Amino acid sequence: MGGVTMKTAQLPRTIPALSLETDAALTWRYAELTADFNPIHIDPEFAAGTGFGGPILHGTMGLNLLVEAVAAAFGRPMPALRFDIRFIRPAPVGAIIRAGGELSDPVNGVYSVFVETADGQRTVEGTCSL
Amino acid sequence: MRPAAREKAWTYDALRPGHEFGETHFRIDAGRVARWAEIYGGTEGDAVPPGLLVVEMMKAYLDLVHPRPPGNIHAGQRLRCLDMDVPADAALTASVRCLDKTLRKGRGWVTFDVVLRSRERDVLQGEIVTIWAA
Repeated sequence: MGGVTMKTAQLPRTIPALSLETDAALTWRYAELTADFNPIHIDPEFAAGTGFGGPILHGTMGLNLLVEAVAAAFGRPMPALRFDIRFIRPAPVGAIIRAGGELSDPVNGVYSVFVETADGQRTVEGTCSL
Repeated sequence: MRPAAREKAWTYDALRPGHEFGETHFRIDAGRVARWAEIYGGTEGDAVPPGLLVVEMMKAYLDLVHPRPPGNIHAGQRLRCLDMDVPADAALTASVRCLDKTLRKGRGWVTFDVVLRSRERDVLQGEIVTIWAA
């Protein structure tokens, strides 16, 4: 197996947050990138008739931002890492989302990681571990 | 290899743990990286951004587990980032299988396993945890 191994002392204490400002145009570009054209993300009229009341971001948009934040914190090449996350709630199209984390278990190399909207509402929570 | 086209949506009852949905073969070219950068910003070096590899994992699932009933919920995700240093335009393979399914509080939970490989090494393994709508 490839990847880089790291010693405890080398572990970054935090995963500095990365932010992404979203809007309908960016969401459409993400739909094109992923071929996920679920109307809940890109059709305001359809989404208005759902329990969400309006379009919501693809959950993986935030997950990808989190992976990028972790990659930036560790540098390239990334060490071998495991993520275990839950999608807690959706974020509305138009939200600013932030993704980051902090070292919660230095001995075992485990980070608590998150994606949240600018007002602090968590959309993704979980762990990233070596 | 892709399985034969299917007309009926994959219902919870039809899904079988261990069932393999097939493989896709693709390259992440400069154009695709540029489309990523339009969303997430510029990239450094020649390696594919790690987040874009996660995109490819999800795209393989969407391509191969088809047709799906509307209304499925992507509830969770496990990722093993094994060797993410993939150069641009490398040949990649994604394979998808149903890992398990279980009923919990009246809802069908199904987990799909996706493996991305490049040059006979595993790059990324993902478990897509879903609440299946039908």
